[in-house]
Amino acid sequence: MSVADLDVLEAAARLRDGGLTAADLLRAARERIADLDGDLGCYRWLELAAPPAGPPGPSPLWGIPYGIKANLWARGAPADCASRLLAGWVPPADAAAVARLRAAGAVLLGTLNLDEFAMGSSTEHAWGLATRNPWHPDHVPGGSSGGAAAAVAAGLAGFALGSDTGGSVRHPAHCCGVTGLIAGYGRVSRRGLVPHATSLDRVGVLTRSVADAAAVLAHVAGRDAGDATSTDLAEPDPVAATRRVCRGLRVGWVRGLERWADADTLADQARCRSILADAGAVLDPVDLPDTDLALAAYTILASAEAGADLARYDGGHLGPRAFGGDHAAAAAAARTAGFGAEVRLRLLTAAHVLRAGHADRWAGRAARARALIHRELRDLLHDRHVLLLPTAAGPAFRRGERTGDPVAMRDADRFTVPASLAGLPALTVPTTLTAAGLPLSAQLIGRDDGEGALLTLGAALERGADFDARRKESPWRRR
Amino acid sequence: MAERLTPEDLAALSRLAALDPDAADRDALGASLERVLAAVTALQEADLEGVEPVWRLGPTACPLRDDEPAAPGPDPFPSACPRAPDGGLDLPAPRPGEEAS
Repeated sequence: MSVADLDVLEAAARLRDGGLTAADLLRAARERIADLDGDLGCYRWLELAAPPAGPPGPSPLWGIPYGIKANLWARGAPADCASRLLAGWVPPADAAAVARLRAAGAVLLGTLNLDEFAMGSSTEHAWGLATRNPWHPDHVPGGSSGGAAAAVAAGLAGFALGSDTGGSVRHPAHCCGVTGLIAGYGRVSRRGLVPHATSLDRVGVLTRSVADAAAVLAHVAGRDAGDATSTDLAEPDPVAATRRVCRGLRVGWVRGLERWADADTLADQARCRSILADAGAVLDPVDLPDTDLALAAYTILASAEAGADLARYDGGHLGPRAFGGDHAAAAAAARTAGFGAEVRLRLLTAAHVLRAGHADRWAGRAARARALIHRELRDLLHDRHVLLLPTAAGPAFRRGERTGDPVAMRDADRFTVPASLAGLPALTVPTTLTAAGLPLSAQLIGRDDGEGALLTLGAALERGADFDARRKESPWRRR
Repeated sequence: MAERLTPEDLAALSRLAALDPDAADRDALGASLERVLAAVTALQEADLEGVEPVWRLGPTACPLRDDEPAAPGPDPFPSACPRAPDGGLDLPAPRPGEEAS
């Protein structure tokens, strides 16, 4: 196995015992990028930093090359959010999460592709770059953190940071066969994350193992004075949580999925139940809150918030400066030329659901529906540690299959939006490959402050599913 | 029931969204928006009687910002305040080295 495919914690151990240097790791990642990224299209911009010198620091992330979604700030790294509107824009400082990784000695490789302003589920709505699924180039990598997921899957980064508003870490993790983790809302500071929908946005982690995700989370989580919504993680040692036994932990598995999920996904869910039961968890069936309602509430609320969050691109400060006698007209022209079709659709949706006479019917009911989903999920988790369900109804869909159908595109988020609306932690664990060679995954949703049990059960699922063995079948390992 | 958006509706929405699409783009966006709205009818059908909008996520209150005062301790302020005998203000005495003006 190439150095580029090592897990973070395995690479850290080799750095410590002298079997590897940070320069070796960086060289391997850059060689993999040079070899594959022309076809995959993961990176929007590449950093040319030198590897850290001296002996390894105390953090397991020291010397590990990583990438960030191009809607996160890193000092000097263009964060154009895959939007023509922000072409070439360079943030003046690090996001809180990036600053913590920099302090730990992790090595930034570059910024990764996404759906414009993180709005999409396929990474096809990106200005100037298309990302392909590393398992099959005719399929999407998922979205909106598709560049991050594809890069981690194919060894173009040791790990990556993404953002998740309605599933944008978990869905691409599912499509590309990597681990995707979001802690509860606010557990990772959003300072330096370009907003999409503020009450839903979270910074998440993409890795090749659950323990790696725990290690990265341990670094980036915690209260930050620059984000008033941020708070500390309840779990004191996320990596240790992945080694705990799960005997006695209670899992509610979601039944009644036949209406949406394909046969492979249903069979995989049954296998996941067996794995968790064999590991000592106690399982019982549950009914998920109405996913039609969750998807509807998410669609309206995310658009409404995006309308407000993207109002800052007003031709005055960010994006193209609009000059001329009629500033409003010049700004509208700049916004129309700068935003892609999906963003324009969401802005129009925002205007519709918030305008006078419509707000109660749309945005008001969506906010109340969110409260209902919030309450129902918490009721289900009152005497259970996690819920088990798929991340998506089937494997990654074909490129172009849904670009002209906004409703089908949004349906990719059906199983991820409930946790988003409720602000609960969630974890995607790759489990198997379909006959076509595309990954499937399971999603675990935890309680408020339940990241520890989430990681314990996720690690048990990972050990039982042994997806790592299936990585040998990947196109980049067979080259 | 599906919502139908007229050209006037779309022009008004474009203005509200600070966009200026050409006619073809506006038609395409309008068709997409109608599809999106038709797909979220669950919102109109759900029984939301008595459900109040969620205003905070998570079980814990957000911590106070560093620049917000915490709850005051055991009365540190009144002793430092000017007293007001007989409707006037009794100003504190000048500190050593300061002249009253």
